[in-house]
Amino acid sequence: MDFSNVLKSPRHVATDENATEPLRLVLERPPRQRLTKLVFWTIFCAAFVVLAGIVIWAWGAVTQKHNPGFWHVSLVSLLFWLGVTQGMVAFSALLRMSHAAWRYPLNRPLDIASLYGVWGPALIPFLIYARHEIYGLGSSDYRNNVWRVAGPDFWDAVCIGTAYLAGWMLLYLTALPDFSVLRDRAEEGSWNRRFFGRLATLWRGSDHQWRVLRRAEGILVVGTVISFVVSQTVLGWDFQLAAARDWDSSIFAPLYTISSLLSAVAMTVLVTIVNNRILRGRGFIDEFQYDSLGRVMIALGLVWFYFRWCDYLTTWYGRIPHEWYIQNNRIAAFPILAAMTLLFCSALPIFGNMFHKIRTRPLGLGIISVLALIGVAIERYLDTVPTFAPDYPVHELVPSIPAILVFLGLAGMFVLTYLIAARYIPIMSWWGTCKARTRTDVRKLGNTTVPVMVEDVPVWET
Amino acid sequence: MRNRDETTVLGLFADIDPAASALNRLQSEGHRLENDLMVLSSVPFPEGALEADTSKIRLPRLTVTFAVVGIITGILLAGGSAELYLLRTGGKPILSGPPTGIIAYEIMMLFALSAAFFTAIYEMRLPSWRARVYDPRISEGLIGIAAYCPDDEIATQAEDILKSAGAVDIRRDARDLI
Repeated sequence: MDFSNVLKSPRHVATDENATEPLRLVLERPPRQRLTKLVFWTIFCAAFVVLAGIVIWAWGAVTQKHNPGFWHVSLVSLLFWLGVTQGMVAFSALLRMSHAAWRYPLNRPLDIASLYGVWGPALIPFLIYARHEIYGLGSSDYRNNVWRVAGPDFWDAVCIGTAYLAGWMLLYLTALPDFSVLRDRAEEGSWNRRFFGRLATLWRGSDHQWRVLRRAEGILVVGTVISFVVSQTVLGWDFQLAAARDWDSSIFAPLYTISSLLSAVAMTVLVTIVNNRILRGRGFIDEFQYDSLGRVMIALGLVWFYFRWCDYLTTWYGRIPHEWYIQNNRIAAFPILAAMTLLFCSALPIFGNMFHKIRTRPLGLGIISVLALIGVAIERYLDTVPTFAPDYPVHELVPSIPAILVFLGLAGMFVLTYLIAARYIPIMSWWGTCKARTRTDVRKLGNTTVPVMVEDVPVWET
Repeated sequence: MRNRDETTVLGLFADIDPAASALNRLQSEGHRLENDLMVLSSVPFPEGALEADTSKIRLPRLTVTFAVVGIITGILLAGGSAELYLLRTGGKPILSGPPTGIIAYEIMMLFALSAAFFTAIYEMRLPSWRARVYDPRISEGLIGIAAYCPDDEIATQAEDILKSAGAVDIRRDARDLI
């Protein structure tokens, strides 16, 4: 096989209209129809965010502290969205670590999810406040803790914050080359030129800068994955499980982490579908991406089932009456929801994605992803709220309409994060796209043609 | 203080092979130091394909150093505050291992990641407020080979090398290389 000239010059792709579309979306004013749509969705999502804020602080915090149907559901809603966004950043890091050839169009949209943490100052106090109130109901002995300085609240905030911080640093460093291209391509003297000039801080793309970026990326992706696992462990044990009544499980944190990753992959599929629509194809995303995401979902569905089963089996085998009663309560009180969790988090991602025709099509994979997200959201709810069933009638445990509004407000925050970020950051990494395209080609091998890609040698060998 | 004759010659190339050839000739014929040459590109190449600066990068070492500093800080913070605020909890010792370990771990991650980020920014020589040698056409896919020249004679020699290697444009730039 002839491997000569697999590596192409940047000029072959740098001015390609398709590759530069993400830059154009940032630099050019959108056409009237698209602008109207953007303004509508921004106002729509912002309205939900404001409404959810009013519901929580002006009404819930004052009158609903003892109502699990509102207070607990709001807490687990926030946990769900923190899991999704941190999971997306960790998934992006995992793709980089494994040198997945299909990662380039996904990395940037996944990294942008870390900006959800910018809203942290509004979210983390609520998380801590809600937990205090739930602990106050006697679910756990919070006071007299071993953590001393500022209690566990401070360390929880450090831990959750570090995971987001890692994502922001990764996003900024990997966006530097794109900011510099935006600076160069913006009109002379324009606001864009000044703005992106400041963000790029004179990135020139020297060989030394690229070498440093590659190493920094390598370190940050490892840190991102580690921070994600630690943060999810804290959220799982300290917020979700501690808020459940009389339930202890040593395998809960890994199960919680896997659920977050599953929901993150499902959300990745939806973000990818939307991005593909916005970019109108242009060769960024193809069957390869959907196929690979579907396969990852199969693996995560299997691991999810394994952890869930292990957790159930130890309780079933031990038959400690009190523990068995708590474990079984959620199935007895909400049998349909329990069945939906099992179906949407495990059976559907595994068996649905086994069909090539389903997982390689946006519609098929999209439906599975939406259902997987619903499954994880229900799982979050079932893991905490029904454990209070002995002390509360079932109708008080059902999510109330204000609690659903809080969930929608948090969802609005997620969409809004992307809408605002896409105004200033190209939704696809331009240099990542160009890197992939300059290093990929098709070569004849015997009686067939095969795709060939030049990969970087591992950092420790350079 | 910059000498009046000092300048930087920037050659722009459309393809990789001529750029690599020019770089090799500048390195061998010009006997230049690592800091005298620079490759500029909007897209990264596989390492070694086009590389002028092969100096050591301190990023991994500094990250590990700050991770260790983070561990020590975490132990001092958690262990120290436990010793200062004596509060026996659930029969556990005042200075207990697991909580101290967890906090040491959290601070280690915070320090290591922050160190990696700030060291990377520093090593990239950012932010740089003074204008440096650059050409906006690099972001349109051209490859730049920049050579620092202490006097006019060396600058002319560098221009000849870049021209014979096939540069699409060559210009002298009074701005700093690094």
